[in-house]
Amino acid sequence: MITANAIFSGGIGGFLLVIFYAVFTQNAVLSRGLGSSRLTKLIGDDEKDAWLFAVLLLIIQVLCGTVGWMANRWLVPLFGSFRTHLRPLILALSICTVFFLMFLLSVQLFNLEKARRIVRQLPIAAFNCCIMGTMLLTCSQQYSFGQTVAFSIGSAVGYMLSLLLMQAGSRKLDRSQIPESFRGLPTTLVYLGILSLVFYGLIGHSLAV
Amino acid sequence: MIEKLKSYYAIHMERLEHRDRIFINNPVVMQGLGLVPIVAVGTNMKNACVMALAVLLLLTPTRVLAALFSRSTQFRFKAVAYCISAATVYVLVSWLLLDVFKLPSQTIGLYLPLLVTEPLVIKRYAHTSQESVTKAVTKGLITTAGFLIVLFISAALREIIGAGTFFGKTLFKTAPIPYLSMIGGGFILVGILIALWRNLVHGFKREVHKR
Repeated sequence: MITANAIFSGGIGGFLLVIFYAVFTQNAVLSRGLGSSRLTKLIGDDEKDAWLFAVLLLIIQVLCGTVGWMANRWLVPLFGSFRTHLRPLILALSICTVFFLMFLLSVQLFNLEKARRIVRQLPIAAFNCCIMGTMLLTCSQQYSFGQTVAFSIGSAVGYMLSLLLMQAGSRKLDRSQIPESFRGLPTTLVYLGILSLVFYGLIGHSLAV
Repeated sequence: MIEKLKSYYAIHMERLEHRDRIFINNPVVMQGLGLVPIVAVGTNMKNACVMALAVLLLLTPTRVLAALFSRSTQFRFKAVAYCISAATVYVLVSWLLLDVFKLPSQTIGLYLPLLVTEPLVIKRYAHTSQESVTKAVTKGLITTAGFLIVLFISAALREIIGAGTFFGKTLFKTAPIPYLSMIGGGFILVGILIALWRNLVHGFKREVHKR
């Protein structure tokens, strides 16, 4: 099994390899199911809003990864044997810091209408299982700073890739052919399961027999 | 019994459509909440029991704490109040589960702390209306019950069909569909389960409306 620690030996090549590893081998949605509740809702949303959400997720993911890495390295060890229980609280506080930073930046940098659209998506993008899951993964695997940034980028890009594939599939679906009770969430989940199988085939996961 | 239930629903249908989080408006089936724990953790009954206990201990206290916190919070920042409440309650829940009850958490791994940002636990922040403490308690308990039912049905089916066992005891020599033990298989099974559940709800509503 390839791990980020094994492939990251420094340099831009290693950095890109960790991103590749996070997008395909450890895809947040298709390999770990992270952020799937929100993803299933995005399929029915306006495409512009869905992509605004995805871009926000990418920025927040990288910022949270950075802040979370610092908190996990310097703050969490202070709590000794109780650190396992306190880590999620410290990471949640890191997310809140990034959330407030993004809120201030959107209000300062954009006009009222754009800022409103961003602020509407901000809590959904920040308090998302994909963000927290990636932070927990990078902390538990004790990634270096470079690995954390690369893994965060890869995780968000992996989420975007899943969204792209889901939207493409959704556009091609002939809804009139789908039984009524399967329309919407059930079809999306079945499609997600098939996509996940495609990814397993691509990267060579063995079935848990 | 069923006739009594039907007539009860016929009279109170409008109210129950909003309040019944177990059958008619189940949070997983109708809103797609709590998919991550069901799909990623609910691969067998043992994992499902640990996750169920965690959700039982976390969801209602989080809602109560957040209901108190968010009174003085602006709407745009309610998500912060809910997330911090969940993370604070989680400290106690994690200590209870791992240090006091000594439950095996290795198989659940990162999905236990992930409950802190799980929409099932914190999604109430998206509502503009303020929740009272009494409502937070009742809705928290009903939402937990609705989630647990789907979690256990899904985990039982996945363990039986995906691994050929039930609570670790072998039922079949070879697992009928091993893919169901994986996350992708979980998505497919939960998708089918939701479709069947929704079909039942529509049928039930039609039957009630006939009355």
